Amino acid sequence: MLLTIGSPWLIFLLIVFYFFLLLVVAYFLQQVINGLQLGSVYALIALGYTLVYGIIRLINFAHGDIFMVGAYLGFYAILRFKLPLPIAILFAMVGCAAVAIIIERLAYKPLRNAPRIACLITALGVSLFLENFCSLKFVFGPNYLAYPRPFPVVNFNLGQVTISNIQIIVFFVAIGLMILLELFVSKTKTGMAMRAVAFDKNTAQLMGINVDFIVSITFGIGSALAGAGGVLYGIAYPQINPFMGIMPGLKAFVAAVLGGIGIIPGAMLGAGIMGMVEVLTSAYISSTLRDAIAFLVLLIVLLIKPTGLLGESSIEKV
Amino acid sequence: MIEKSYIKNQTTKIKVILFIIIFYAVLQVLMSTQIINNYWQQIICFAGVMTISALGLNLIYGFTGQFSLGHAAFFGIGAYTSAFIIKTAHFNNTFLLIIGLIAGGIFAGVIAFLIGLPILRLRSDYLGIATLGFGIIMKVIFDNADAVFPVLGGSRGMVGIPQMTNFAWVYLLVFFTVIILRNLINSAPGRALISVREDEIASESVGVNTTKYKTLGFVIGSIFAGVAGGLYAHLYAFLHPQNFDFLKSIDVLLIVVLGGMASISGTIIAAVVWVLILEGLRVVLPEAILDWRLVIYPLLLILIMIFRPGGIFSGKEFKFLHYQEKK
Amino acid sequence: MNNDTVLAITNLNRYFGGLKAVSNFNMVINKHELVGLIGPNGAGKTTVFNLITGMYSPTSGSIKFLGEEISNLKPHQIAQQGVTRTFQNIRLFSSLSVLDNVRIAYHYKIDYGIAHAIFHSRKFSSAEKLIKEKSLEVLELFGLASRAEEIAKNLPYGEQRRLEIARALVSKPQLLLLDEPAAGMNPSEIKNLMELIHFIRDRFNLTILLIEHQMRVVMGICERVVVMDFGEVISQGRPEEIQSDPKVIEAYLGKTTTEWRE
Repeated sequence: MLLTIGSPWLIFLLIVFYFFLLLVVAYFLQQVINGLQLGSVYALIALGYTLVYGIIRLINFAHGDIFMVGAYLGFYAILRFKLPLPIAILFAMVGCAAVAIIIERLAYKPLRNAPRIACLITALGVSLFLENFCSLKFVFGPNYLAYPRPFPVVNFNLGQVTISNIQIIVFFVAIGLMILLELFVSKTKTGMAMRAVAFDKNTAQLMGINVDFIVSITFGIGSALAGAGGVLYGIAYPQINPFMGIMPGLKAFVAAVLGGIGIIPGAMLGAGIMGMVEVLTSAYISSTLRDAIAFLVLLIVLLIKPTGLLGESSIEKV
Repeated sequence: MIEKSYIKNQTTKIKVILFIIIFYAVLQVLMSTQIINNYWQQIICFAGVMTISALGLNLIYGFTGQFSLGHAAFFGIGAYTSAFIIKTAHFNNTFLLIIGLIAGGIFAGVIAFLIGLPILRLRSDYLGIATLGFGIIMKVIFDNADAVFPVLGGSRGMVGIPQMTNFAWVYLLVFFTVIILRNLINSAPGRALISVREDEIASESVGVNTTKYKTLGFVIGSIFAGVAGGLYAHLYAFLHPQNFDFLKSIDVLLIVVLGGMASISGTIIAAVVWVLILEGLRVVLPEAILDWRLVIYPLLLILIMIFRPGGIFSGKEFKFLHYQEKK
Repeated sequence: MNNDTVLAITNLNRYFGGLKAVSNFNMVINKHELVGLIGPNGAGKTTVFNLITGMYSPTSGSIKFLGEEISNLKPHQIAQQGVTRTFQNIRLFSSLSVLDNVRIAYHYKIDYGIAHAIFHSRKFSSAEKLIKEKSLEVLELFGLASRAEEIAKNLPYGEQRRLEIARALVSKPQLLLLDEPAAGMNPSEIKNLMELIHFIRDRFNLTILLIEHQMRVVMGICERVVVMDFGEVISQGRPEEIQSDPKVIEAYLGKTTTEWRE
């Protein structure tokens, strides 16, 4: 009975549903791709936060500004020196590592044994300094600059979904760097030293590990990743200015905490979530609320699992 | 026989009160005769506002040990509340400012209580991040507040706020804040607060309800921030959400740390010096390198932290801020 | 169990994931007893303390203090009921003065609130005077009155331990838990400590449960000893009895001989 009377309507409804699904799902998939791109950049920054926190328990507020410096270094590499993208990224990575190590030696090392808040405030000072110094006219200048794209944008259409070559590059470069980091930390001697210092600084020192050197290396690696992130961000969202590091830095930091601060896969997981939440909120709710929703997610996670998604709950020994 | 120390206490007390009154009178005269012009009057009032806010954060962080990076959010709640009430009610008598300030303080305290319930059980760094997140959420709320209350202005800013804050108000409220904080700290509830900072586990083991005291410190500190915010709203007569973002929370934190945590005197001096230096640099530096102001300031910050990580006062106080007993 | 029972622990279990930190733990302590809890490192002794004081909640089992179940209470509530403790690694309020360390223990017995504090009411002044008097009295008993204004972390180790005990006694508890009070002490300090423990038990009408590794202390002052290993009670009785109990000897000597210090 139902089939005979209802079938034209049923078929009509099925067709409508099919197109609806196609559009909705396609739209969703599109946002997922956008989220992956953003998450990749956040991950590169978040890793720097988590590495430094793991090693000296410092929230390096200046990290977001290293990201900014990386973007600008890439800018000049591509625009002024006409370097190809991979070399530009390398240039930014090395430059950022150098800047970070200098900062670490000058500003953070003297405070190694001071109360933690003093180091935090210093980090804030470094952050403000980098932002405002780079705003000076003879440095980078305060204005927004358009990022040069070293090759034309090519879009690939898969059904209703579009992926650009930029998105592919960002994603795979980020993944590549993360794999390199993971290999470095787990397979090399220096990586093992890093893990030892993160676990117990004093014992590591007693074992003959040069803690100062390891701390500097950690800063260098974390900042190199952020530098790469800066260049990738530049080609993906092609506007940069000296204050561009504040919000992404904050979000990447939140991502690191979300996943469990001090835990490398945690930073990647958290960054993926932050990127996704931000893009999906922008797309489905409202772009003005996207920051609020992202931080709301953080608050909820912290209240349920205070040490982050992959963090271990530490019971204080009495 | 009256003890010598009793006489000394009384003499000190009288000296201090006289100093406070004379200091006010001198400044007030200078202001009324425009020797200190309107621009600098505002700066001095702003210094007082930052003092009150910083004292609130000092209570939360310096004394109770709760690392809050969202203090500016409560400052903003107080500001918008007071501005909203006074502008909507068309108050223009400067004495009615008290209504706005009380409302601002109380509303900030209520929100602090509600937020504190779930958040305050997080440990140190995580609490900082959670309060940071709260601050950012609050800013987004401020940005979009005009959707519910158009008069609040949202991201365009709120204008037309009656300018009712004057030096007398600010001075009076700084004075009250200092006295309230001093009396609170040197009392049994105050010691309970401090014990939470020192060692939570030991504190619980002697019967202190650490959750209650963390909340108490957080709420009272946020009330101070709310009152400061109210004063701020009626000082500059214009509110923009950007004045209450996490960068501003960091400014207050800087003041507390620079002055020396858990030092009331340190906070007062640091707040005043911080405002005056930022302004002073604006005046002193030649036009061409004005932008260097914001480069020099963080460098100074870094240097102070490296050479004096405990802050300028490192926890010490002027004598009169310790509780003097009646004999 | 009778009216004289201060603490009654029945079938107490505490698991951390797969680890059975405390298992099937039973113990009864009566008024004025001085009981020792001993066992090799990792036996679960401090975990038992943490369970009694509310820092951990039991996986199962019951802890009754003066007849009332306390295993579901928060630590500060249990302290207010009359159970206080000292810690294995001294937990003083190190940057506060000796006097303040003791005064803080009074706070919940005060009947004035923050309003009184802020306005310096008469209630406040008289209460503060009382607190200071009583605190100095307690400090006097422990020979620390002259140190009242000093910062706690500047005290020599032995005095810090005394201060921690003094602080725990301010609220006139009925049950005092001492976690390795003799740790780090030389023989003459230990002798003073044992006298002190006897003294406070009588002076403050206390029931005392203590964890100790120093056998000199256990044999010297404990009237009864409970021996733990792997989270369980393996023996209990008078010090002389458990000293010759083969199970106890095996528990200690089966691990490292340094555990068994005489």
